[in-house]
Amino acid sequence: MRNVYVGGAAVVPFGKHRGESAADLGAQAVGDLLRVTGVAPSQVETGYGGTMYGGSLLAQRVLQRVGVSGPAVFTVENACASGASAIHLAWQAVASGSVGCAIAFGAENLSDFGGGALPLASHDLEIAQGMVMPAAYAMRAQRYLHGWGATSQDLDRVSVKNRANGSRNPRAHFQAEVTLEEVSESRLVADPLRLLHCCPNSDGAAAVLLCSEGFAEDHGLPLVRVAASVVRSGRFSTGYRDMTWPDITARTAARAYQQAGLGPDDLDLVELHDAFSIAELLHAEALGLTTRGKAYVALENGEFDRDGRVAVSPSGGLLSRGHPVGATGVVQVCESYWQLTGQADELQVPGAEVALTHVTGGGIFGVDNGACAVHILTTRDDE
Amino acid sequence: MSIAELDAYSTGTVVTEGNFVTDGPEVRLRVTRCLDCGESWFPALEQCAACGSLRTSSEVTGTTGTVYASTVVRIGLRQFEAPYVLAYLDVDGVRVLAQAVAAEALVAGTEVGLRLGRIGSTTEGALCSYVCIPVERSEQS
Ligand SMILES: [Zn+2]
Repeated sequence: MRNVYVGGAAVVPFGKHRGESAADLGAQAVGDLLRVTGVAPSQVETGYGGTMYGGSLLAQRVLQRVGVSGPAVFTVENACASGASAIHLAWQAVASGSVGCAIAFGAENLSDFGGGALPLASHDLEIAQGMVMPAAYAMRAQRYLHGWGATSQDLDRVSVKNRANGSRNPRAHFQAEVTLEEVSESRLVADPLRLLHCCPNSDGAAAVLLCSEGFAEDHGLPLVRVAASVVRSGRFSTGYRDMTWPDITARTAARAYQQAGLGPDDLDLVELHDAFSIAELLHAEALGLTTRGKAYVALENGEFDRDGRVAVSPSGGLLSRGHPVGATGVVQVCESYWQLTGQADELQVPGAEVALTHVTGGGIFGVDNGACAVHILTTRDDE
Repeated sequence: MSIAELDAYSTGTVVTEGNFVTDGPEVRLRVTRCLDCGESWFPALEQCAACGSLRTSSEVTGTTGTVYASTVVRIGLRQFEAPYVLAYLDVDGVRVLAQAVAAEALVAGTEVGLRLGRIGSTTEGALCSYVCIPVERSEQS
């Protein structure tokens, strides 16, 4: 396996894009990516597009619009990890030496479904009993608060921090800060989770270029090395299990740290899958950013702030940025690329050299999540 | 809601009917135990999903369980008529999601009984399945 580099990033700002399909949004992102990198469509040797609701052959419908038609192209579905799975497959293609340049993107338009809950998998045992995604996280939250002595105010703090980060991000769906009072007085969705503990459904797209070292040098692209790219599926069990410990995140992260030869202490920033506020606490612990049961203490002490020990979701996370399902895993890598190349403007984490991105999702009964992906990016030399 | 009222609702379309048996007003879940690795499965499986073994036994659970976690769903799909309470229950080796007959989220550790009850409705009438009810409540009523 050879080293793989991120050679460029482009994002269609997340929010409401009514009247523009996932293919429209994806084509804008990929078109921008080719412009900012100066790479000709003919030099793109393969492409992967992640989407959950964008439909069959989305990757072809996007890439052919910007002049990439003919090479191997794949549309990838892995729920919330669709976009990150597309990056993983593009990484494999470059790492194996079979191609020198690949595009991975994610695109989604959720406005097409109207408001409210998204359509979920049918014939699922728990959905038949009335399960909805906020309820799954609400029960994890109840159990976490019960087990570790945290309070609902600790959940509020996650939203306040990430909304403050997102207020600086022109690509975020929500760009307004919120106060502790506003969060704690927002409408209950599934006790103890309130509306401002939940990420919004958004539309958007994001794209990255992955390439070999030689390709990056030929095109004068800043080098950000993909030190780890790992995807795992959920372990199926219907027995008793600890729902405050996201085993899928822990397993994916452990493999990623091993692949990178880096550990949690090396991280300057993490873009984490905070679909609900409780998720930041659970995943921060499973990623090893803090000891078990202490994420809420680290958060309260400011350790996860943009200028803290390890910045968690400096771009605003899903809570601010929004969650166009298939695009989320890609935008995390875009935001991290800009951080590591010093282009993050008001979001910049000072001196950032190592970033980790994490998505996990897919609500099917019997597993934590259907799929989880972790990427570690760095500007440090390979040692 | 009393048990009598609960039972009065328990007619209508039964959801996931093959997954449990009724024992009077009470419900027992159909589960599988793997004879090789010991894992427990609900709903029942022919092949163990942990080790792949085909050497399994079909059993039914008791009629009581313990709450692992719970919430009140306040925004949900129309057919379930929010607000309603959901709980994860530990029942003889399996963790099961069920609606609860309660006004608030149940505290972890609460002992519950399993019964047939109403979980929602459609234009064609009530939807029924297994539900749980705190044990003290069922004793009082
Ligand atoms: Zn087995």
